[in-house]
Amino acid sequence: MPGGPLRRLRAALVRVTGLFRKSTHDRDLEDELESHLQMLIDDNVRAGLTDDEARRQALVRFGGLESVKETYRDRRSIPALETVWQDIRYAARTLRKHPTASLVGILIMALGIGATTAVFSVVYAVLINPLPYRHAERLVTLTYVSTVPGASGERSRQVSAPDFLDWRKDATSFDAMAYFAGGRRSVMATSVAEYAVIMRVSPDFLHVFAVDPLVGRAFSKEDSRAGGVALISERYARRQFGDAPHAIGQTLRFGNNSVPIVGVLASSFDFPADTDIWMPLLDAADQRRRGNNFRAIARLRPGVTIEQAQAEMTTISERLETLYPDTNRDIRALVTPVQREMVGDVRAMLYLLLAAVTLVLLIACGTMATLLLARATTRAPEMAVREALGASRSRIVQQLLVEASVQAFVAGALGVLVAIAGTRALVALSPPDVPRLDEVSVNTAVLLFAVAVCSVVGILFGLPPALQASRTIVNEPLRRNSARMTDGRGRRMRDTLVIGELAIAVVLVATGTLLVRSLVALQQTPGGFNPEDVLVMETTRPPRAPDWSDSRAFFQGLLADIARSPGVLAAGAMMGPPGRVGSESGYWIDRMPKESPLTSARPAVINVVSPGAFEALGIPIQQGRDFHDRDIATAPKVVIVNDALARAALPGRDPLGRVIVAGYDSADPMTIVGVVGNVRQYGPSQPPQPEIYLPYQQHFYNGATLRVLVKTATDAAAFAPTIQRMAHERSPEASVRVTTMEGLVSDNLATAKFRAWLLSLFAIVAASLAMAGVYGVVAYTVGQRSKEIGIRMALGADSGSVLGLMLYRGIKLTLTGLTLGALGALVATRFAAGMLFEVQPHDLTTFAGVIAALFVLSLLATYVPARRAATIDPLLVLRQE
Amino acid sequence: MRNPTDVWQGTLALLILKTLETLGPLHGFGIARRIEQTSDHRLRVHYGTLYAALLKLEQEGYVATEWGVSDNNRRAKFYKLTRAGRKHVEKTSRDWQHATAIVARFFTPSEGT
Repeated sequence: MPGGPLRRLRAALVRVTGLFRKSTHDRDLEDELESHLQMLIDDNVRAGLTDDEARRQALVRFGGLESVKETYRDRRSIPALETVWQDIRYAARTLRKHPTASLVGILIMALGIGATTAVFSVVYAVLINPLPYRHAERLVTLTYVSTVPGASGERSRQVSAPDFLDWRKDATSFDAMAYFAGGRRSVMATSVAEYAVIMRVSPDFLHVFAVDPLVGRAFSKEDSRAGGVALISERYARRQFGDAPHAIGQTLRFGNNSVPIVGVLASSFDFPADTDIWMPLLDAADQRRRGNNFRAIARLRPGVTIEQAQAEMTTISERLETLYPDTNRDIRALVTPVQREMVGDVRAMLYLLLAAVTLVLLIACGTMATLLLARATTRAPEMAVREALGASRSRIVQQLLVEASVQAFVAGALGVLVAIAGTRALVALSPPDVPRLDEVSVNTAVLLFAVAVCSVVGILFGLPPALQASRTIVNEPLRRNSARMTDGRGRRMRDTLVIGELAIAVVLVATGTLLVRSLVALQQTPGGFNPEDVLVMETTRPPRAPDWSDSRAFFQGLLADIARSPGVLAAGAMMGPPGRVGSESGYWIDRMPKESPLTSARPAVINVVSPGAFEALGIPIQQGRDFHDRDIATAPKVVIVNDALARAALPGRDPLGRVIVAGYDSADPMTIVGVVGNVRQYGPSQPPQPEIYLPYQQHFYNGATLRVLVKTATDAAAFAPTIQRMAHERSPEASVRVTTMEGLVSDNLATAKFRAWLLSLFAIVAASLAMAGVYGVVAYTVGQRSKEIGIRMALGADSGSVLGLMLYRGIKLTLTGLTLGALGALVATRFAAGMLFEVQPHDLTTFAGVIAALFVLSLLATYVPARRAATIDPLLVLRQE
Repeated sequence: MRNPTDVWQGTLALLILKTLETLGPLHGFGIARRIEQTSDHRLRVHYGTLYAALLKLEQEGYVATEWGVSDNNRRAKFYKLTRAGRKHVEKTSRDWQHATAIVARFFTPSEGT
């Protein structure tokens, strides 16, 4: 006679409330039953029984007060929940009873959960959390991709203005499309010139993001014609003018130009990252079809998928290819979600870290399960008593799972503390190319993740001991000493766990070792220059004269001032210091092999340098001469090339005196006057490319920006204020930013260092836990079999054979684990292939070394307890019987 | 007299409701006694089941409880039908009669054979 669903719901709710105010309810029931009993007695007395007999029969009729109460209580609330609560309290008592073992287990798990949560908090902020813009999921970037795999320009983030304008004219997939360009420029917001990140954006830029200014107005149609207004970020407004409203109407000065600030964008809008100032893109922007100087962004129309947009853009690209075969051959537009584009290579690294830390967590679970299994065996009699008293198997499994979960959640609470600290450390140590780090925090989503992890790991490490206990046959453990009877299954489970731990440890240690070897190789790779005691001062002096002669003079004078200072060994300036490519172009030598478009010529790095720059960086001049102060605009055009270019273009011939043409600012022929050593211009992981150095007096562009390089005799950093002062003395309008060359070099290695260090850390933790696992299993076996060993020895076995017996057991486990691990590592390291340098994912030396090292460690972990077995005194053991 | 059988699973709630409908507010002891008497002591009520069933009816809102004084001056908890309980007992009685009538047809020899 079931009631309706509403009735059942009502009953369920009442039962939930029945979990509380238990004592009141119990007293109520007590009273009710007591009154019932009394009425029964009254009845019996009336029927003529004596008082005692009446009471006795009433009690008999009642059939056990407690059982009546129990039936009633089961109905009152939800028995399963009540028993869970009992189990939780029982688990807490059990933990307190074995403080050391519990503490060790909980600390291991806290570290595992904490580390996983910390890595997840970074993954969440960078990869998962949507960008804080309206319609963020519909924002895409448009970039180039070449249909020719492996081509030098296989992928280019930057596109040309004419291509973009054609895309915008033809494409129907987008609500709004915009393009922009910019970077660090010198600005005078107040009386001092400073660097600010400035983006020149097309009128639709703000429409793409559907963003309105916090105060002031957005760009109007007229603005892009005049080119003379600016929007600034809230952050920049605070820094320069105190707050956002005060910024409206202020002016920004760029050399001769003054630009009024018309609006402020809220700090939640930060695109591209770290932009301080947005200004309209001038209509007269670069109109060359291969002037790839812009980035493009668009918002998909509602309902249009990435694939549909991509299909349309491919069609448009093919049409452009037919129209402009010279410039657009093999080039396609590529549509990518903006979040994915922002994240770039970081994605693979973060997933690697998450995978690695998850493996560490699994090992921690394995260790914990081993600890609990060992305890479960000693607790077998307790379980048997429970079962004998009527506890069902599912009840016992529930109890053990609750115990495991309680430990998991205690560990999780500690783990959150670990995660908070770990997240801070990760953010602090992160390489500069990880975006959105300011958004990383231990937030609700991360906490939910931690809770989920706790629940899962509680079951993961609670299940093996629970299953083992539930299989225990009731009577056996109750008989004396027969705990061992159940040991067969427990032993197999423990062995499996340890083998798994060893296998995971091999995977992590192998991957970590490969990454560390890559890092070492990167650090040892000669960059082709000497970064020691070299200061790098990025300097911009906005020109006032139309021919920029004042800025040129500024640099010439500044370099002369610095070179004259005591303690300076050499000084020069360069557009792109090592590790940073300023420009690239095709080149021809002696107009050979035959005149063709520069786009199809072999590419070279283009750099602009002043005299003394090579000396400051210790780049050897192998042939010919350095530039000198007479290589000026009116003098014959000269260049210096690097060894790689000379070898590639003029093998075995004298490069000096030959004529080269390269497209930096003009197609004028230039004479090669020198050859210098190679520099790894694309960073340490890329081999040196052909490079062409142009003298700065003949090619002074690049936004009047150069990096001044100063080689000092002693501590370079101490010299920083001096050169900064020198620059400002020469011109208060100059913006400067000083770092050291060593700092730049280490920035280039930051990513490799970060992943190598973290993976090594995980690998060490994994290996230690696995060794603890091996030790635990062998030690446990020794303990369990001490009687057997005693008998063996009493019967004449020597300690050597006992030692061998125990070692054999450990070695068997180790070899199985290591073999499985090696197979796993063969698969796993392939995923890290993109992060390796000068070492193959299946590097034999690494694998052999890792396995040998883990084998030796494992042998040690086996030997210590095995040794103890060999020193067992048979008499002592046998007397215990 | 045959040994009393336990109340059949699922029918206890109906018996309780029917009892309360006939006799008005009543305590647990009274309900049990009434069920046993009405069945001529052929049914036997297990008190644990009885109180659990009463609690379930209360949780479902078919009965309400109140402490009061019994005929022979004992303090006792009285159960009485709520409005929902009254409707429920009418409906389930109908259902029960309907069901038993159908089952009964299988046990009476059909006419004409």
